Amino acid sequence: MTRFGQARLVDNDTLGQEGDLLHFVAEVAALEELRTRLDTVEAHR
Amino acid sequence: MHVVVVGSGRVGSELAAALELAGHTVAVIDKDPTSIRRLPASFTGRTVVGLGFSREALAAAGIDEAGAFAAVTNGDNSNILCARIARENYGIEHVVARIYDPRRALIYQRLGIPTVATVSWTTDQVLRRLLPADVQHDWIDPTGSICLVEREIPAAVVGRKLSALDSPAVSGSPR
Repeated sequence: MTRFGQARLVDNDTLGQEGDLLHFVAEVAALEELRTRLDTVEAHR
Repeated sequence: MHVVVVGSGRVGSELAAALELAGHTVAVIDKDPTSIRRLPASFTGRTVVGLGFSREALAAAGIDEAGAFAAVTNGDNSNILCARIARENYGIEHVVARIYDPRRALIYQRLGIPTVATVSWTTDQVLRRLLPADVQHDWIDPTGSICLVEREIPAAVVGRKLSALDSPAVSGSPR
């Protein structure tokens, strides 16, 4: 992730903050699944 | 480090100047003596008129002492040939070739020759600015199997553990 312009690795306890940029490594074959998952999270706000 | 740059066009001349500014010694090879004039007046490195795959030109450019090599002429074939000679005949570790043809760039990248695919890169950058919402991924490996995707944090995860995104059960639940 990138927070306040600084790159950092996320661990299990990292809490999300407004403005965070998340970088996901994914198999290309699973790209649609990743997008769907993120959209689902957004839709369930 | 000594760097040999083949091609003294816009990219080659700017690259040579940037490398020199960073404290490296640079030699530029170009078959066209008029292209050498693109180099800034402050450039103090070697200039060699000749072909980038010619043994004589490479020797004059100090290929034996080079730690890096860039082939950035406007010819894909020349760039690949130069890069392969630098890598295979002179054992230079850091070799890069600029390739216009996206298909060829991919093939050579897979064969282990780092390439800068100008056309692909430019197309990607223009698309990102034209249609930012449609960007599929930010980086993809040369085999096309793994990619990197950048995304702003979903508002639903602000204040929650990011590991929640790993679990479909959690990520699908209301906040």
